Amino acid sequence: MSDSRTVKKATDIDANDEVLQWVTFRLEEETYGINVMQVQEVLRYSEIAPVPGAPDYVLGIINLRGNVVTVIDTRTRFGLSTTEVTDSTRVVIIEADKQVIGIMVDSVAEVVYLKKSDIDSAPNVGTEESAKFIQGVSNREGELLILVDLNKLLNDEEWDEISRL
Amino acid sequence: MSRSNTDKAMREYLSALLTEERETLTQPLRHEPVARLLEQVKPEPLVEAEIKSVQEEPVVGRIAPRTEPVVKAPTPPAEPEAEPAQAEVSDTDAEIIADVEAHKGGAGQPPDTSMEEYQQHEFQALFFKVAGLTLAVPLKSLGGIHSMGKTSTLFGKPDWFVGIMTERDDKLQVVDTARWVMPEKYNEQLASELDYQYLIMLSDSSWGLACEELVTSTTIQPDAIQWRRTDQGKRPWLAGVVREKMCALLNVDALIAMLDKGMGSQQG
Repeated sequence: MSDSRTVKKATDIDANDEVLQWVTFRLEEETYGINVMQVQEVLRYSEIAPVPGAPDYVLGIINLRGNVVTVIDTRTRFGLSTTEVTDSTRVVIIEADKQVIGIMVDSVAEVVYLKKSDIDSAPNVGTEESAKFIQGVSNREGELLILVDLNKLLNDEEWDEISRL
Repeated sequence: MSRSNTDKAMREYLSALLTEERETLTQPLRHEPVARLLEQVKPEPLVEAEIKSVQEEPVVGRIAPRTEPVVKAPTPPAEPEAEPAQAEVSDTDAEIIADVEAHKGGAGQPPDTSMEEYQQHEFQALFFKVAGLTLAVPLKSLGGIHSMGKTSTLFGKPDWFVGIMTERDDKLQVVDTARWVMPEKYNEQLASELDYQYLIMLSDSSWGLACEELVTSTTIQPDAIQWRRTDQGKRPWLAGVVREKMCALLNVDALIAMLDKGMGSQQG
């Protein structure tokens, strides 16, 4: 094979290997990533007004520049233990399923770039409802990055319920 | 409960688990083979030619570095690499690992790992301990041994699924072996006493069984095993009992299939 053909082939492979950006955050000693395209902004924790009768994974609502935004307790949603709010606690405002919500996380870390080829599917052994939230995993600098599918964070009925709060 | 009592309880438990008819535990586990292995330490790395030359006799004494899976298809030592971090592995364990490595075979045809094969010919097996319980895995069905490192927990998974341990480019799926094998015995005390040191990889899957201690590797004759009937629906992961050591021999293929389905040890 000639050198030029070899170079062309390598270029094709790179072009197909899309690079995606992920915002990473921490929850209970693990690092998670969400698609940067779905992140609108990151807020420091401020008072969240509880909503009586809301599902247990709903912390409450906040006023974001005149708009009411529902905040999800991500730990509860993922089936993790709850923890105290700290100075590192953040509310990440995201858009998923054409709705804007906030997800509370222990801390926000950074934006990372991952090739599609570097993302593996998660072990498909989960029986819990929350297992479907994991879109994939990636090994980044020796640490496992767990990629969350925000579009599956809530099902259709739950999105409806959130929109009615 | 003291450790010896725990061991005794586990042996009794295993005996009840494995044997249909009552058998008497006559002999404790022997560590003599390990001592013999210790006499022949040669810390040079194992190269492909050496692995291929391994026949029936054990080749012992090669200490595997911590970050390398010990049992893998060998690669030619053409490109020198940076020295991996050395293991904080005891001499005894290093010897067992080396022995396992020597018997794993080369990168030729895939080994026949069916239980029928094991029922007809002698084979090498690795014995390892979890919470006082000894388990055996045929070396041909062994994918490798790793030192336990940091595991990342994935939510929504079964409680016996510890998480994922990254090892270079590999993502190893760690099973809490004690919790999987004997969930009814698993309690807070047992959990607090567990001290997992190694990950026993199952064949070429991503699944690894966490274990506390590598006991030994030895040759087993088929008639030394009380084989379970393959049509017995319950516990397909259990190939049989190594009579002398009164420990379970794992059916690795069946075990992998169960783990892939998220099944517990009592299911299936």
